[in-house]
Amino acid sequence: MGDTGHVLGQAGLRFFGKVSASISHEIKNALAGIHENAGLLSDLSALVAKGTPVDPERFQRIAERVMGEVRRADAIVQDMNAFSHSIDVEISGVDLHELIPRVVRLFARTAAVRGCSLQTTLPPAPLQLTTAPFFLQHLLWVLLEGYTGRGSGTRRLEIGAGTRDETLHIRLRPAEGGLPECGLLDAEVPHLACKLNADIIFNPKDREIVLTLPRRLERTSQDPAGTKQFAT
Amino acid sequence: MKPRVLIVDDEPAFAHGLAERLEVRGYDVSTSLSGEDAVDKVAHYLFDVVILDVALPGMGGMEVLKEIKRLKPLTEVIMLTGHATVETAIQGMKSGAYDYLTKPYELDDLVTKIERARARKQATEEEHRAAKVQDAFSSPRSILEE
Repeated sequence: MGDTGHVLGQAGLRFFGKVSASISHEIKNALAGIHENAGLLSDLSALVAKGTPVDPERFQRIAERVMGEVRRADAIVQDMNAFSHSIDVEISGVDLHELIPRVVRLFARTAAVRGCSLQTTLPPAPLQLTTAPFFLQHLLWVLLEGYTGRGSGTRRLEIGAGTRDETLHIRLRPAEGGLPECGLLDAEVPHLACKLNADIIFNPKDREIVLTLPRRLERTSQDPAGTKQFAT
Repeated sequence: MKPRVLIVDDEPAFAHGLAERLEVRGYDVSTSLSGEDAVDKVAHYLFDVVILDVALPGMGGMEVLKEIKRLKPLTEVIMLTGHATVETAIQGMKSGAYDYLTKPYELDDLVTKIERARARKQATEEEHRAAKVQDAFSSPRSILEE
């Protein structure tokens, strides 16, 4: 199976690169919107300077578009910041109410290009655990890629979470569309599960994955064989 | 008649901003925020030039380009691309797009390409008209068959 550290080192770099590329694409889109509307303001100002009247409402509408893109870019940068800092400390307190929506937002563009929408349904109850946040984000990303990959047929994917005793679980299920191939057996999945001391159950009938995490991870394991990934 | 342009981009702020800038410059502009809507508009209306984002979610830019060329072969398409999708834009030109521009671009460059694309469309339409007239002269019966 390969050394966990080595496998996740390379896979982790690839994951970090993909997320960075996705973030840069989104920021570029926001900047393109700001650029175009700034140009429009310049065009309309030139018209006014030549004596052509322009409705002030138009300037207000354009300014609101620009502010909207600035708010959007700021939200993207906040996500980028939280993601980048998630590797500062290997194990830390994590709130799934923040982590899962963040991964979904970071993956949303990739999913949309593949024709898939992501729907998150989280209970109001607290979903806090001590775990390895970078590796949890990485595992979720790999599973999302598996569900939305080329030819997958998944049109809408539901992501949910819950608690039971001393564990938390994250559930992914295609809600609409064809039954996809899922990257459950991708090389890094067992190693990521190992790092998180997580169990992964894959139900081939409805293509649902349930990821069960301990509420408190004391230290990450190096032995993939110590965790369970199986189909029911 | 004002030149008719369709902008296809899933980013509303960008699409509407560009649409207004082109309207200020005398174009008759429509926008589509999805490939599916763009194909529907091209099927029902006449456009001189389509400005098409390469990286569309769902129905992608290349698929939209092929549909436009199937529905309205004479409509010219200019592809807009980010750095990561230049290769796709070049592929688009092999599939019949007139040209491409990388974001961010200068609007004057886009307007120049729109005007050249429109001129090519007009020249092609004129050639087709001339060919039809020639056919009619050489075979008057062909008008009845049409």
